[in-house]
Amino acid sequence: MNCLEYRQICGADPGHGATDFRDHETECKDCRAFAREMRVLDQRIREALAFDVPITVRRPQAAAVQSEVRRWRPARLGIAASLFAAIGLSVGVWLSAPPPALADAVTGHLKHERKAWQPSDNPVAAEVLDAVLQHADVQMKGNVGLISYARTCSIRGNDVPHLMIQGERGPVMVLIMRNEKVDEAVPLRAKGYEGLIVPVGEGSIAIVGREGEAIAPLSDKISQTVYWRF
Amino acid sequence: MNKTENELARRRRFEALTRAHRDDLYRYAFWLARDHAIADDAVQECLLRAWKAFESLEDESRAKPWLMTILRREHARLYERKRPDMVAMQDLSQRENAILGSQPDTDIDDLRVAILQLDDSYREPLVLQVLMGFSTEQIAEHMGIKQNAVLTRLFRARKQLKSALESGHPDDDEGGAA
Repeated sequence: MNCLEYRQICGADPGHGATDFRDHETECKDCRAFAREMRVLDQRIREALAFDVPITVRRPQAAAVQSEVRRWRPARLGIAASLFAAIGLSVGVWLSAPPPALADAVTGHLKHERKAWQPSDNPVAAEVLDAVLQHADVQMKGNVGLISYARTCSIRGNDVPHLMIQGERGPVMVLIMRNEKVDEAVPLRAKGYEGLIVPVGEGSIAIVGREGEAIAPLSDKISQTVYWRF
Repeated sequence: MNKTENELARRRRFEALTRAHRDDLYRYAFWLARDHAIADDAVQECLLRAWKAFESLEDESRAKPWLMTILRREHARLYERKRPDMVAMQDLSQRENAILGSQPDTDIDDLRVAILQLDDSYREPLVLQVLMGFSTEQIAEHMGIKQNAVLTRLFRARKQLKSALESGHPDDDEGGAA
């Protein structure tokens, strides 16, 4: 193999493993330097290509799979569901409070992502916050103070922005739930924590802080900054 | 095991298998599309197709190339349906670089811009080789082209990137696919 042949292969595949390729590299100092340069370039290319995948993309594939499974369900399930709904309405069953499962889902979420509850002075990166809000078709206009954490979480099967803001008694969890309508504010209580689910348009926002945190003013402030995008 | 349990087990197996490749799938989709939204859609469509065709995957150690093939097809389909608006290259680089995240190392930022500016036919084999670890033979099979053509494209892609890093702009005089 001559130098030209070597460099043509090396420029296309610096990790080429053929014996004559390796032999030439051992023998030729200039080509060895060329190969080193190519491998350094490749390392840089690899770093450039391997960007951090946005967190909104890291949602479990279950979301995709489940939506497909739902599509496959026999029509009779839909009919049964319709009948059930009709019967429910006909007997006048109407819950003004959210289904208990919503409050449970919110307080249950306190157990997750414990790291988010550590006090922090560092704001979350603006691109991360934007990506999380955008994924849920939510906009925030106005200042709610330092947002130290932003992530897309699943609450009752819906992707919702989970933010952490700073209260007087430490971090406060905010879940922005555009698909969970409540008719009035619902108090939440869990061991060591208290909070509210407040209605915002066709959705709601849950705000939960440590016991004794002044939740009401925080919820007013947040409610005024959140907009649903259509 | 009843039907529901079978379905659940199948779903878990699928999720376990695809979880490991999720980030690579997204990166591949992004570098194909150069667009965050199309990449996201392509990955979702790919996973749906893969789920439907899961039984056809005979050798699970071949899951990665299998998923990449599905993704490539879905990207082509989405691209046909939803051709992105023409955007000036400088704007594209700025917009997509914001998604990629600014690096403390400006060389990497420059390199990303240069990669975004590569011709599609050069960028794809480079991503498959450098990021996905495909051999030139596998790339040829995946892209449906000859191995020699793959080698030529890879050579030119590296030459352009090297030139871009050295001079601050890509070497345009080597344009044209093999």
